[in-house]
Amino acid sequence: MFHAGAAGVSWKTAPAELRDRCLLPPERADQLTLLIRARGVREVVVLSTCNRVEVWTASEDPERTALVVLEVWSEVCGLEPGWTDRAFVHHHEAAVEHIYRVAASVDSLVLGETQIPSQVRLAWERSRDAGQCGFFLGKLVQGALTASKRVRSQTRLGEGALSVAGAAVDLARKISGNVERLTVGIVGAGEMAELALSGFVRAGARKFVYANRTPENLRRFTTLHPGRIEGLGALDKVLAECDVVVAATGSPGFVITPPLAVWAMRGRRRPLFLLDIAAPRDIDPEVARCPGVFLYGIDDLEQVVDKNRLSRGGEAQVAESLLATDVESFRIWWRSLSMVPILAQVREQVHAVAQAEVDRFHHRVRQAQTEEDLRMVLEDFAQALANKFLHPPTVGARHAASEGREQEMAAALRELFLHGDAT
Amino acid sequence: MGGRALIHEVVRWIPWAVYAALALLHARRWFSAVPAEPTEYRALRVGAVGLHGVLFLATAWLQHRLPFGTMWEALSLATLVLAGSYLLLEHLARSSALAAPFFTLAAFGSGLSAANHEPPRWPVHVQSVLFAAHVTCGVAGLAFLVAASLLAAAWLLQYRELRARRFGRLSQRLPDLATLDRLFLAASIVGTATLFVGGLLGVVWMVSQGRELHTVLPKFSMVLITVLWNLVLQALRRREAFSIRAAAWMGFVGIVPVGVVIWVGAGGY
Repeated sequence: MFHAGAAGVSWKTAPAELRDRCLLPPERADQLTLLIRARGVREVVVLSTCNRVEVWTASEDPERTALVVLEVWSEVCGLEPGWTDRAFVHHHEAAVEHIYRVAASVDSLVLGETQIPSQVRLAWERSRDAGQCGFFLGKLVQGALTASKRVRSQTRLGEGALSVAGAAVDLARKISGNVERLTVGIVGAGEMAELALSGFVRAGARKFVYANRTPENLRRFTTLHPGRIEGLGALDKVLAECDVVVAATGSPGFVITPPLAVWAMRGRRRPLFLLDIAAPRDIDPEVARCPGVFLYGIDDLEQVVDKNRLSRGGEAQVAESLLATDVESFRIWWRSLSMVPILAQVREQVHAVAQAEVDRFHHRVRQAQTEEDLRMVLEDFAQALANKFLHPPTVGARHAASEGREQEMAAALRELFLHGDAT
Repeated sequence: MGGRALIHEVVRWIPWAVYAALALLHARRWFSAVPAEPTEYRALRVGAVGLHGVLFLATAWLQHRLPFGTMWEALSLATLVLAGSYLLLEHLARSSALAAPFFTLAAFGSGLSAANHEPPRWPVHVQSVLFAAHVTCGVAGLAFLVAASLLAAAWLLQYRELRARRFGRLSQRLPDLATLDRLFLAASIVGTATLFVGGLLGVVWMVSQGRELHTVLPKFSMVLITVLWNLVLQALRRREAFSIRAAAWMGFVGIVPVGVVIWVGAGGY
């Protein structure tokens, strides 16, 4: 019998640097999948996003599968030992629940984000088209996506700004109006920068400039949305070009200083929205005195988030309860799978019996001269077939009665042949 | 007082009453904890402006004269244009946050117009199409310029709130800075052009009547100053180096010459 398994790293368990090293772009995901399947795992789906990299499996032994997945992953990505301390592993029903929560974006960094369902769908379709995923994970992922739709339509989880990222977008809107037309600069490669980026991507911003001391670390941002990559040395150009700049580096000192802001605002009419979400701060508070500059910090955003959170009520709880119902439906289907082998055996045997009877009556059909003869043959055939089918349960029922299990057997026969009818 | 006179007396106060009620309703909403307004509010606003328009036209038709017989009646038309322009601005800004100040001003204008009711002073030969077009364009232009000043004031308020990191009711309800700026500029351009055309028609009318311009010199000068002020503002506003804040202040201060033109103009022709 198949069991679900899920293993990986997410924003909850691992820092951005580790997630970066665990990333599984398509070629690497294919390599990983082939190696895992070569070790006896039946179905594999790889989900790789900015906030999580996960491998979902279907196998007979999920505990062993999880070890295989982590081992192969280490080989493929060249990860050093000990990384698995930051990884999560779910088996059986916990894995099913996890996959449902991921697809419904209840497990997301930005609660209710709209991107994850399409990312899950793409991951599954890719795996299915490559023949790496069959009916079990197909049913599981499709069920999770249906549940995700239900959560989205029956709750207000995806609306408005619940997150810090959403609050940043709201503030940017208050200053510059339509976010889609804005040029957004992301300075830094940390989780908070990624969070702000996801907010602006969701809000429809199209033009991004990424800046970091080590530009190579911005690779995962470009998978979320294409953009130009700069080093911190070009920060003056970034400030002059952008309408919104989110600063979230790990720098110990100020990265954006008043002279830099004054230079950026020289000869410029558009306001500049600066958001400092770094700890310690990246932007000198004196920058706020520069005309046309709107400088906000994480505390300011939290004010906005609190207002929104109050108005959103307990949408997350409603979503969780909806998911619980859907997970239970999948669980019922999953339990029914345990009958599949025995049912297949019964069907095979019944078909063999039927075929033997057909062979036995074949010559009598050919000898039938009249319609009356043919009718008699068919009646005999039906009688013989019924006797053959009923012989094993009849013998079994008598045997059970002789052993004192008559009640149990009667109930089973009633359930199987009389559709539960006691009369 | 005869029955017809009484009806006329009541009818001319209806726009004031409706605008005042709307102003109160929207002022109350500013202090409400729920930011979203009931859907029927929009219908109320459109209905109020429509009713004013119908009453204005019906009065003119019943009294067998062009839309207005005195400058105070023309003020009623200006109020109508102001309220109508607000509906357009609200649609473009997707925000009804400025309903309270606009309808307060509309109530003030229509109240002044109703309180200063007097028999038509304009002789028949004055009530030409050219003269009516001159006054209509003039009052419409002034109404748009008043709207521009209100939008500039709203921009300055929103700017102050956002710079001070106050995300309270005022900031939440006012439209964003970019929208306010865009609408302010649009209202200023439309107002300047309409006022200029109105002034030009006035000059043509006076020449056609053989009148001398020095008789309306104060009004003429103030209209000229207003138009020039707004043209300078728009020219500066187009320069990338000119700050939007300075433009908003200029737009807000622009209410002064507009007010003087209204004051001088409402006194007679």
